[in-house]
Formats: sequence, C-alpha cells, structure tokens
Amino acid sequence: MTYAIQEQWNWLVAVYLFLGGMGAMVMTVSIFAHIYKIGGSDNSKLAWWGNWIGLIMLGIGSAMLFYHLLNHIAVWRVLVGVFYKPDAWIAWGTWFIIFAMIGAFWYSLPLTKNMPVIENWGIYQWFKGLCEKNHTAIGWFTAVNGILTAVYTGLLLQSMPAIALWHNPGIPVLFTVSATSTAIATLLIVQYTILKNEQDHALRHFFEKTDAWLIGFELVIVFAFFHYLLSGSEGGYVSHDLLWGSAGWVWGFVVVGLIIPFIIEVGTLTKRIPSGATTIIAAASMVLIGGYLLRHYMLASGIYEYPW
Amino acid sequence: MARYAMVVDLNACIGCNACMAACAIENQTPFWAGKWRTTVEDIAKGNSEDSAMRLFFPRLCNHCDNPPCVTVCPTGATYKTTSGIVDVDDEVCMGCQACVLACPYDARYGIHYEENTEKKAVFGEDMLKKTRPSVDKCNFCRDRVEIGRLPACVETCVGNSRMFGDLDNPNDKITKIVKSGLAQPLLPHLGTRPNVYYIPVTKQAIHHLPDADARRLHHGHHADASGVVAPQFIDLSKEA
Repeated sequence: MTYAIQEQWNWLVAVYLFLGGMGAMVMTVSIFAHIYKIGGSDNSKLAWWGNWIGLIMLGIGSAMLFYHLLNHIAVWRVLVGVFYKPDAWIAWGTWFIIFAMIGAFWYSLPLTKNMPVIENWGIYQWFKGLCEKNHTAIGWFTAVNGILTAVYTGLLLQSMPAIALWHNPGIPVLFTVSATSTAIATLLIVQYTILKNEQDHALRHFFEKTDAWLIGFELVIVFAFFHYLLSGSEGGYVSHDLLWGSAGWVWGFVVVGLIIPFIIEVGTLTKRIPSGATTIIAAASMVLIGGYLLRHYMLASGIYEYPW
Repeated sequence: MARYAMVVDLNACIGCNACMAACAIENQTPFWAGKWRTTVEDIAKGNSEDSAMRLFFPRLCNHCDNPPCVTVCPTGATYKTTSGIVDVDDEVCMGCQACVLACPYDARYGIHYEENTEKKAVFGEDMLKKTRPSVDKCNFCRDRVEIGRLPACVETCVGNSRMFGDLDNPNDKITKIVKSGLAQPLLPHLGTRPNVYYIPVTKQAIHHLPDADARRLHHGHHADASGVVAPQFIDLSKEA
C-alpha cells in the first residue's frame, strides 16, 4: 500500500472554495437581513455592501479556478455541461455561481443611489425599476443560488471516492456551516467598520448570537471528523495524522478560527466579556482566518491509498 | 458488443518497462515530464535475505464500469464507450482536473500548455493525435483495438504479463481467468467496478541465490480443468 497526497488542487482551489462559499453566503445573509428587516432596522446599506462584497469574492474565487484550468479556451463548455452531464457538480456549481452573481447585481441596483456614468440612461432607469418591482423575487433567486453555491463547494470534494477525508456527507455540512459563519463574520466587520450604524444594534446582536451557534455546531462537526478519521480506512487515518499533526490546523483553524472566537462571542453575549467594535472585529477576523485554513488543510490532507 | 478488459499477471512482469516505452510512443505522452499513460511500479519488499523480494506492478486506467472520473467531469470530455473504454476528448476538456482527483488508481494526468508545445516539437505537429492541453489517460489504444490490433503495451510485453481481451466473449482467455477468480480487481470496495484484473504474486523467486546453478531450476505452469493457465512458482532458495 502506498499513500499519496493529492497535488492537483492547491491553494488556488482553496481560495476558490473559501471565497466561493463565503461570498455566496454574504449575499444570502445580507439579502435575508434586508427582506425580513431583521432586528427591526432597514438594512439596505448592509444589503448593498453584502451583495457587492459577495460579487467580488465570487469573482476572485472563480478567477482562481479559471486560472487553474489547463485549457482556458474550453471553459465555455462547462456552461452546457448541465444539459448532458447533470451528475457533475462543477457543471451545476458554475451555474449557481453565475446566477448568484447576476442576482446580486440586480438586487443591488435599486439600492444604488447613483450609478456612475449610466445613472441617467433611460434603459438603466427602466431596468432598475424592473428590479425594484421584483426585488423580493430577485432576492430569493440570489439567496437560493447562494446557498446552493455554498453546499456545492462541499459536494465538489465529496464526489472524490478515493479520499476518505472528502468522500463523506460531513464535508458539505461542514463547508456550508463554515461558509455561513464566515459570511456573518464579514458582515459584522462591515457593520463595525464601514456602516457604524447605531440603529442596527439588534441585527448585530442577532449576527453575533447566530455566529456563536454556528461556530459551536462547527466544533461538533470537527470533533465528529476527528473521531471518524481515527478508524475505518488507512487513508482516513493518515489524513487524521496530517490534520492533527499540523500546527496550522490545530492552532490556526481549531483554536484561533473556532475556539477563541466562540469563547469571545459567547462571552460578549453573556456579558462576561465587554462587547465592543474591537472585540467583535477581532473575533470575526479570526473566524475568517479559520475559514480559509479549513479549506487549505482539507485540500492539503487529501490522501490516496494506492494498492501497490 | 465487446467489453474490453485487461489481466495483468504480476508473476510474469520482469520490469523491463517496454510497455511504458511502447505506450509513450504510440500515444505521444509527455514522458520527459514524467507523465505516462501506463507505468510499472518497482517495489522492494522484505527486510531480510529470506524475505526480500522485488515486485513489478504495472498500472494503467482501470476502465471502470462505474467510473468516478466520468461522473465528476463537468464538460462531458471524459466518457465511456459502448465497448467499455473510458476515453477523454481533448477538444471538450477544459482541464479542471476533477477527474484526476476522482480516479482512485492515479491513472490520469494533466498536460499543460508548455508540455503541449513540447509535444508538438517531439512528435511533430502534423502527427499529433491530441492537440490541446487537457487531461490524458490510457484508452486501451482505442484506435488500434478498433481495427483488431492489441494495445501497444500488450503487444510489446515480453513476459506476456499483460493480457487483453473481451469479457463478453466466454471463450476469451481473460474471461476464463477472471471467471476462475484467479485475477482480482484493485480497490473493489470503492464500487468503481474496474476492468483491469491482477493475478497476485503467488510465490516470488528470491533474487540472491546461494548457488548460480539454482538459476537453472525452473518455474512451471499448469493448466486447470477450465484451461486456465495458472503460474506456479518454486521457491528457488529452498530448492537450492
């Protein structure tokens, strides 16, 4: 038996998985916050920022994957893939990402006060009005595709049968929870640094509470992975050794990315730790670091068992 | 319709690597970059004079009946023919390499732009069978097989370690071997239903013989009732 680490998908793909999942959920969460006026505030500025940040994240993430391709000219073929390869997650994921990006752009138009250059164009005003008229429907369209994008990033890894670390139903769950948690962390940073709106206090509190729950859930999933990899397959066991033998995984992801922000967020919610912009931004930044490290080490610890 | 498959007798492979050379030339693989459609693993086992053995393990695409590489391919570039061959259309492949990751047998590799340019120089641009940077893999020398020839690796195998045939033909030699249970697929628990079978090493000869005369000792074959030829090895060190 020979063990080999996968080498095809490197940090470029880790960035794609990280920004793809997070960006999609930034759009989704900000749209729901806007549609349902969570916390009683208007949240339209947050929705504008959320959709544009999500758009940029998905754009950068997709660019990473595009750069990684062997034949860039043939990339258009992935768009028609769903019609005759509906079992391939990349074909679906590409459409989820495209639809989410288009939807986010449309959703942001009625929230844009002054679009440079084209603001006074008749066709732009007509289209903006159309988006305003169907704003909630566009929001749902974007949010659904955003959720599907986040789930897809996990399903992509799950479809590799030879790698025990990836080929299990825990991966899509872990990646979706992490994408949602990192998205909320991004939105908290936006609220505390850009918006600084005193009226969205209830929304921030809701985000902090939700993020604490998500991180707690993520810790349970990570513990389940720890236990699952201990037995069942040699490849999984080697992945276990690689993960829990890496300082970046243990200290970077588990401790800095999960445990410390969990303690901070629970502490501020229970008022044992004084809440404030610096504290929350620090916790949210740690969640973001952990979100990338999760994907990085998941890719770097994918192990094959070859029978020779 | 045929269902092509291969049986590899690990007892008969002498590690000459002629299969690799024949395949590389036939299929124009960028061998200078260490990329081959088929390779032969050179494995040393044992930790004492008595237990030491050297084993050659030829490997290639297993042309699975449930191929994960086909499932994950988002463009349809990787497909399975009605005769069971898994092939890649380089015109359609965008090179996401999801198939490379999905393959449990390490049978695929990506050809990058630079390697593709070099291929044109080595094999001649007009002679290239595949012209685009894409994922490449063994296709059982499909163009040869379709006109009744053997795959290049099988034709060149000096020890007859590689046997190629049609599992839908009950009289085919490899069908008999596979049905006898003598040959087994790799990693069957993954559910890939491979079509490359291996006859495991039954008893490998020790290479460091105490007496040169022992080399004259033979290893023979016997045929069972079904006509299947099974290798039967004699432990030369004990005989000597």
